[in-house]
Amino acid sequence: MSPEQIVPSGGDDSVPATASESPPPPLRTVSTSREAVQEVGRDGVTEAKRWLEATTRVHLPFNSYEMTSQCTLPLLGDGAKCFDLRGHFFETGNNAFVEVKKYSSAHDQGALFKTFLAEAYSATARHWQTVADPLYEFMWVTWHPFSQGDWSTLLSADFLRSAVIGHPELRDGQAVDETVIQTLASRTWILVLHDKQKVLRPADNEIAKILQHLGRFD
Amino acid sequence: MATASSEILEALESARPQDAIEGVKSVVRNELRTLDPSADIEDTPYFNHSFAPDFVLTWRDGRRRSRREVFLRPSVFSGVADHELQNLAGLSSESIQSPPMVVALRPERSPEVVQLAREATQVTPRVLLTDVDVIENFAVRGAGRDASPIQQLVRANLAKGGRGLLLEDEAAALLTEDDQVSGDADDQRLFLDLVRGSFDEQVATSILRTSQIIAMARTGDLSPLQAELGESAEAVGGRLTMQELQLVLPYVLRMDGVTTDARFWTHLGSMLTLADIEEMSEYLAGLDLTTLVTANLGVWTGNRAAIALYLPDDEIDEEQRELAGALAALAERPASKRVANRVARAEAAIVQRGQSVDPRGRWMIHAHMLSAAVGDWRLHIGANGLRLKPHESPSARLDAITHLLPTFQIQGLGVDGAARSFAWTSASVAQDIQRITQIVEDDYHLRSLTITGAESGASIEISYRDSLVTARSPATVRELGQAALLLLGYRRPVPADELDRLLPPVRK
Repeated sequence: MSPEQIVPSGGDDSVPATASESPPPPLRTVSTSREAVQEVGRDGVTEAKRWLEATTRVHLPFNSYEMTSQCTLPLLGDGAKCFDLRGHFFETGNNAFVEVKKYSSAHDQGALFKTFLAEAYSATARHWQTVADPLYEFMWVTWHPFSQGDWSTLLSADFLRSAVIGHPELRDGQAVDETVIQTLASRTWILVLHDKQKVLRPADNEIAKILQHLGRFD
Repeated sequence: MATASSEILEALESARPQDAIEGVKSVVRNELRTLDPSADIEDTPYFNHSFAPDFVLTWRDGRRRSRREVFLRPSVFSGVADHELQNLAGLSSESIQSPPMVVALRPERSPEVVQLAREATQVTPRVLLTDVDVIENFAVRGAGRDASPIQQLVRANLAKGGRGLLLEDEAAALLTEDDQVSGDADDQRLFLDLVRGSFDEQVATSILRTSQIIAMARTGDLSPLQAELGESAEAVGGRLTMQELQLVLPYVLRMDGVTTDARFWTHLGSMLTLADIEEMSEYLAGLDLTTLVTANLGVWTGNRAAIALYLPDDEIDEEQRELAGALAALAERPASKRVANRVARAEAAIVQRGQSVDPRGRWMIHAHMLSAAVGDWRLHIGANGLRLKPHESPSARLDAITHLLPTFQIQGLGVDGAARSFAWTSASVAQDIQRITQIVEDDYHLRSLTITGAESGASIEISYRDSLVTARSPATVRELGQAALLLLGYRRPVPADELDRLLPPVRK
């Protein structure tokens, strides 16, 4: 994929750029302009960011809609991939890249997830080859499970390897690097969210207090 | 010239995320510092975090400490999407007391998003939603030499008391001086509505008062005094804060074609005190205060007055001394903005000296006090006993004073003779003293004289030994001035016409 083909929210032209197939909530029906409709799709991205930051373990200041270059990683060859969110883990300092799918069904997430894994590999391998292990971690955040027959193996090295082999266009003709596969498999995440989970996490003002007590902000 | 948002855009292109964050926050921090130099700015380790602010601003005003959290968001949409403003408003008990300021990192071009933001700020009216270019605009325009007092007030209060939606259009309206100071009631009403929507009540009242004062000064239309706009009495009257005074008073006093209507100047005078004048004396250096003071001679009160022989060269020396002192202080504390301002004011005073009007017969500031050069004297009026100190002087010959006594309501006097001394208090002291001095021959000298202020009723002591006029309770500027010039300055009487111009007698 060339840089011109970057699709901020899904990495696949077949998926709506909104990263969402749910109808827009009432607040956002004010506008019917293309720009505003695109903004609607950010709903899931904003929710995922809040949920993840509410854990107090990860900070995700960059989003693909407004800080595209920070969310974009070069791939092997001349391609690039823009992830929905970028940030880092507080404890390890590792970079976090998040892809958000606020879907109400499995949709084509099986195929999209494999592409996501292959892109994660390609970005990691490229940096590893040119500089060093980039300490990238990749999260797939969805509102609906997918590939349920393979569910227990989706984060395994074998599944990752098969995804990478299935996308030779993202390897620029190079052989699969097993070191990268083994390392990346431990740095790949799948999170399934539900709207009701918001009720089960600490309230916003409690999280603000926790952050103060943690000393990350005083 | 690069705007703040374009600098931020550039910073966001940095290869390393940490460089991008530091670059963006550095731009915003600088804009906030320029906007409100009185705020302490704490930079947190967060950037665009859902639950933690990017900056915390604090202000110390004596024992009072106020605080406001600043949340950066990449765009206006990010600031309002998914009830973001409401979420931020409820993050902590502190944010409930002092709702946060949300700053978008780029201006919003989409009318639909602006409308969305307008609706969101109506739900959380005390949260301020603005963008970084608006902050830059306020910081630059409000700090400029040509900035009107209203622009400066708006700037000075934006971070602390700004609220609601403040994007390009609202900022342009707040910064358009013509609408604010014209006498047109509709213009004023629109402007005031905007001010009320954009600031908390206290600040809105302050801006309202300032805009009314400027409009009245410029147009001579005093209708706001009758509260025709339906404003509260506090808005039209009440005491001005020191911040307001420092901005509006020098501006009005310098204004070309300012109204000469005494009712305006009396009204303005009713909003401040002589102590305020002394406190802000540096801001009034070189300005002719005569119209203002004359309208308030019987309103403003002080406790002391003194006279000294008027020597124009002394004043130049004093200004040079002040500049030398300020420069010495600057050498010791080169980083101090306050000292730098003092140097600038001292230099300005010397420049103004070259352009200033003849101070004779005019009320001006001298030695940080209200003062006038009249006849052979330099008169000083002190709001309290802090600035005018006694200095030993010979007592007055009683026979040189007696002809002046009928002008005043005498309460008592202290007389020293070669053979005897006595203090006299009685209702008919003036007549009694003549009788006594005729009966008992001696070389009588007056130690002190106590009169009753005709306007204030205060007991005012004229001490010849201390060369000082001291009121036991506040006396009017007119009373203190007349006592000093007539009774203390009896050796060199001020010509009657000059005295009447400086201290017009009360019309009966």
